[in-house]
Amino acid sequence: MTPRPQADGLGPTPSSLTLVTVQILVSLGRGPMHGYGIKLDIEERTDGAMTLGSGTLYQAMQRLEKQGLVQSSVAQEPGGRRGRVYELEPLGRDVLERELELMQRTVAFAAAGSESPA
Amino acid sequence: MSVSAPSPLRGRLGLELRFFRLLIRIYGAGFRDRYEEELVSFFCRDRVRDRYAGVVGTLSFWRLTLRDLAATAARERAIAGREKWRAETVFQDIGFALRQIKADPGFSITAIFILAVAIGASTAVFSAVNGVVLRPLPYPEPDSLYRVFTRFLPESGYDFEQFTPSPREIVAYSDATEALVDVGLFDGFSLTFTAEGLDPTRLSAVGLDDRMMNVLGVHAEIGRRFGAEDMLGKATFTTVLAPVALLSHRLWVDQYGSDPAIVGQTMTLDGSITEIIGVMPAGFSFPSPDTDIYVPYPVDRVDPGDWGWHGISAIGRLADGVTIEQAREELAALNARWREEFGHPQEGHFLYLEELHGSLIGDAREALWMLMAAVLLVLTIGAVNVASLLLARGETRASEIRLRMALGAGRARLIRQMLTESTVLAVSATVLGVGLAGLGLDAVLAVNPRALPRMDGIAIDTTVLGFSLLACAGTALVFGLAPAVQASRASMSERTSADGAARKRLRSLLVSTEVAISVVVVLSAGLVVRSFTHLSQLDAGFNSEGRITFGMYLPEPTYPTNEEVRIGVTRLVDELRATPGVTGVAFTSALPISGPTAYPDFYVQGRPEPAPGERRSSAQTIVATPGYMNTMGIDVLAGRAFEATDTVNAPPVAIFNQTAVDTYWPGENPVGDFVQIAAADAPWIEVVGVIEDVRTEGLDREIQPQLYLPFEQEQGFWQATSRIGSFVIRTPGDPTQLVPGARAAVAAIDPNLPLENIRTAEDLVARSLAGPRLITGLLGGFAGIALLLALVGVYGIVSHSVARRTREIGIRQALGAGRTRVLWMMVREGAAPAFVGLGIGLAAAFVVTEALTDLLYQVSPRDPATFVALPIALAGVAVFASWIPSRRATRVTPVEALRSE
Repeated sequence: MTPRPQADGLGPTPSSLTLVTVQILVSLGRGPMHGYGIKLDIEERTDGAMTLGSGTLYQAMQRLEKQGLVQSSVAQEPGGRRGRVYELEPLGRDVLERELELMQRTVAFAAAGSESPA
Repeated sequence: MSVSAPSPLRGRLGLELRFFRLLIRIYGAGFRDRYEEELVSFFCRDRVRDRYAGVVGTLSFWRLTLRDLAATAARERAIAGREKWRAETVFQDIGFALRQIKADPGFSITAIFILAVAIGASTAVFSAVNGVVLRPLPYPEPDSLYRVFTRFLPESGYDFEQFTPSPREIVAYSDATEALVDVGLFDGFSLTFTAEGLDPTRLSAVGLDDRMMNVLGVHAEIGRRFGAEDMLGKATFTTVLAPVALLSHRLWVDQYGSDPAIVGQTMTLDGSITEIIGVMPAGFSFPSPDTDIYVPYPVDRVDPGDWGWHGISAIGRLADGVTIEQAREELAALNARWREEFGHPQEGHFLYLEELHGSLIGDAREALWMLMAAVLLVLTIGAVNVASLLLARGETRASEIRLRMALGAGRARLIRQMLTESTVLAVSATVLGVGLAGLGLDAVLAVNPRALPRMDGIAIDTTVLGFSLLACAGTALVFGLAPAVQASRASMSERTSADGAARKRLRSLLVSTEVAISVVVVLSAGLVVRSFTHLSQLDAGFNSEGRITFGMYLPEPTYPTNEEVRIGVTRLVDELRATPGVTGVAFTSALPISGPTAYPDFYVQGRPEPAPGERRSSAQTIVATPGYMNTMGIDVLAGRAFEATDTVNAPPVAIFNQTAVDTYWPGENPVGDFVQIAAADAPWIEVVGVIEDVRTEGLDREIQPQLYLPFEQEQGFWQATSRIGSFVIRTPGDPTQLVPGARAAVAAIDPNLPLENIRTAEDLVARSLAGPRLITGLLGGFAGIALLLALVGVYGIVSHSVARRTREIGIRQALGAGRTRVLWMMVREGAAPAFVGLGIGLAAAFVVTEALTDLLYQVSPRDPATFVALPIALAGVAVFASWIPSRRATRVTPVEALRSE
């Protein structure tokens, strides 16, 4: 069940990503962030429509780390404190790009009514 | 390396954060190890966002947090591969339960609120029981520590259940004992602390002899503890020379900014220089958290004073492997040996041991356990109430359950589903309840910080949260299981009338149970309230209106002689009297309700000295300046009060209180008699007056015989106790307005004299009642909740019955049943189980209230008035609660009724 990075380097099939996962990847696409920063970023981008709880967020992070899409390291935060910061792996970036592309196609398809996809 | 939220944030969130940490244990160990700190950091940042401010915000925050936790925990466990299928079903059940709660918000809010109040109250009371009774004292092996007291039975010529021992007795005990490690002495007093640029302050000091710290098993955190070399000079009744001192941790932090180089610094105490030799550990407080500083209490072990010079406190520690019974046997043998060798203690007077923890908390132990019992009963009523609600809902959900069974759900599966629903309700209620408990405790502690001993240790900690979880699980089981079984059984077959009857019986049983328990709680509360009413109506013996009091100590270095003390006090009285707004000023060695005072023997001229075993005359001795009776509003019953002419050179005079007259001059008037205090060179004193009884120790304490001496004359022959005393000032206006003026007046005479314990006389009385008032208020509140819940139960059963029987009522009316008859038929539905409960509750209360005996003041635990009046009132209220929904039944018209199904 658990998607694994595939030998061709293309990662899990896009359909196996949940919406939460996609949103997290999008946030990290903008640069490295700590966990709570990801939550705030998603909230801001979705106008509060998607509010992640801590459990949901870190469960997703655990999955993403296992899949090799994201890696974490301990770094100095702006406040001077040390905290864990997450960033996209190259594999994660690829998967995100593919996912966004698929989404765009889906949106285009839906917008074109019942016409067949391009 | 882990992430951590800013610590001030964590501090502010204390309670909620601890609860969250507890909750996240629901995740598997692997996930927790990796993400716990991040989860906590996330929680802290999220919690303080503006959107979650206020009560509504808090609720919304916790709703989201719990939902997230419930959803992710099950998934996370499933991912971890542990009990995968079961976790998924639990997850499903929880999801379903949450949807159920949403689907019927009226029911859910009622149930959660009832349980939250009950669980919150239980949590709050348990935190008090935990902090005061269960939490061990902050010394190593505290259960081995015992207070040493003396007792005087009437055959000794005195009558005191518990009295302080004398240093001579304790030195003898300490030298002879093998059962105890040792016996140490201590005494509490105040010391004036002066420093440049600082107003003089009074520090709460405790003197410890060279054995005491060893007995307690404590060491200084910084520096060293007291040794024999520190015990210089000799402690007297009024003065302790403190060449060295150990600071309490609090004083070290507050006054010295936790200066690490504190050892060797000096401070000025009572006008003389004291060297600081160390700081005690943070958790150490002895004998109470008020103590600021510890000083040596030198005892001359070769000549420790007279056997009868009582007035210090002593504590012993059991030696390893020695039981308390063995120590008591040894002490009994020692008492007998001393009596033979020294003629002391006399018959009927002996030393005895009392567990230290118990002697510190006194009555609070019983009072708190009583509250705990009451609040657990309220919790039971709450659970029964919700069971009743669930049972009623089970009926309306019958078709849903039948459908699910038809689709293949087994009985066990259904019961589990319903229990999950109960658990979700209980968990939500517990979260809310713990929050309520936290708020409630903060409020109570803010208003009554000293109402109970050891109250500083009351907090919602892990133990308390553990209790809340237990209460949560217990209630979920109580209110969930019966309705769950009932509902699933009823649904196995088509609904039959037998099911209906069984369900109705169960609901009636629940109502009877609720009423019975609430009768026990309400009757107990009734007795305690009555007892408190007695207490609060007691005549304290003085007028507390428009009077302010404050303590004062004239230190020996500045006022070395009696004459200087006399002049000092006289000047202070004059200066205070000249303050605007003051209509009376007096100085006394002992204010009312301020604790015990010296208790010397006295002789009455013309009477033979009492034979051994005969009652000896002794009285609490109180010294007062002229005008004290008038300023304090104490009535003179015979003779006169002290006058300005009762000076050091005038013939000595004395005044007794009514109890002394009743005890030593029964049926006679002592005015004109002469008495002599049993002290060296004491003169014969003429009794010039009798005043009403003033309560000196506590409102609920027995009044002792009291002997008043004029301040100036007392200086002549009794030890100079009066360099410590209190002023009382009377004003027609608000007495607190006088404080700045009084401060200025005192400073004008001596800027180094601090005003201590500034209190209105009304406050003196109120403080004495703070503990009983708190206990009574809480118990009364619980009784109110119990009663309300029971009535909701009665109301519910009738209301439900009316709704179900609409058709039957219509037919009855169509057949000619009158409205009154229908009304009473319905009232009976609720009143009958309520009356059964009332009967059972009365019988139970009759047995249970016996346990309150020690807590009641001048009220019998089976007080007839309470046992008659309250049940009648309760019966009336039960009928009323049945009557309200019953009225609806009488408004049913036959046509409507027949249309209803």
